[in-house]
Amino acid sequence: MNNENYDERQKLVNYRLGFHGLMIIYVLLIVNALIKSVVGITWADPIAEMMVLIALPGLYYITRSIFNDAYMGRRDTLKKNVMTFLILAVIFILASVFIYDEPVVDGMLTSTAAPLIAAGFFIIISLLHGVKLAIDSKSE
Amino acid sequence: MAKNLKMKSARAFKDMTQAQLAKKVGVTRQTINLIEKGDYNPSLNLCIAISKALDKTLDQLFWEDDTHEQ
Repeated sequence: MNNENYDERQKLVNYRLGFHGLMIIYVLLIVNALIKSVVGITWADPIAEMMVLIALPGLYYITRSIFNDAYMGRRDTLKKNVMTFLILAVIFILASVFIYDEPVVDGMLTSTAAPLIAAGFFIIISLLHGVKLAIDSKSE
Repeated sequence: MAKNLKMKSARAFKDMTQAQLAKKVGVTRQTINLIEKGDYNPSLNLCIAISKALDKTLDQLFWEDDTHEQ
């Protein structure tokens, strides 16, 4: 019928989750601004702040997309995705080891925490894929 | 939404798995599964593709008989 990697249901689910992700970013930006300006707490430097604000809606989107069978296209496989994200996680763990500096200074997340945040992000995604793989193999 | 047992039985009659039907119409197996479970409303294009793949008409697969019709 078509050669696209994602079918119509997957596209629909991803559009909806993308919208949710956008709303989550708005809320996080507002909350972050209030924390910084009203409460007066600077919890991270700009790079680390950006990483966290990107990672949270990203995790929401990916988690829901995986468990709605919409994350992987017809040409992707769970095992391939697990391996890809694990490799990315290892790369970022190594990066954080090589450029190691204190990720938290005076209670503030620093930019050196960025590789650690990215590694955590990719570890969680590969774990989610692993869980989905286990669920799928159980149901088949 | 009610389960689409007509589609499921037509697929079984053609001795096809969900994966085979999915491949034939160009969607994922999960999408076929959700259509049969009544959890997803396919587009008209997909309905036509499924009907053709199962050698049935749209009515035979997707028209719900209303028993309370006057």
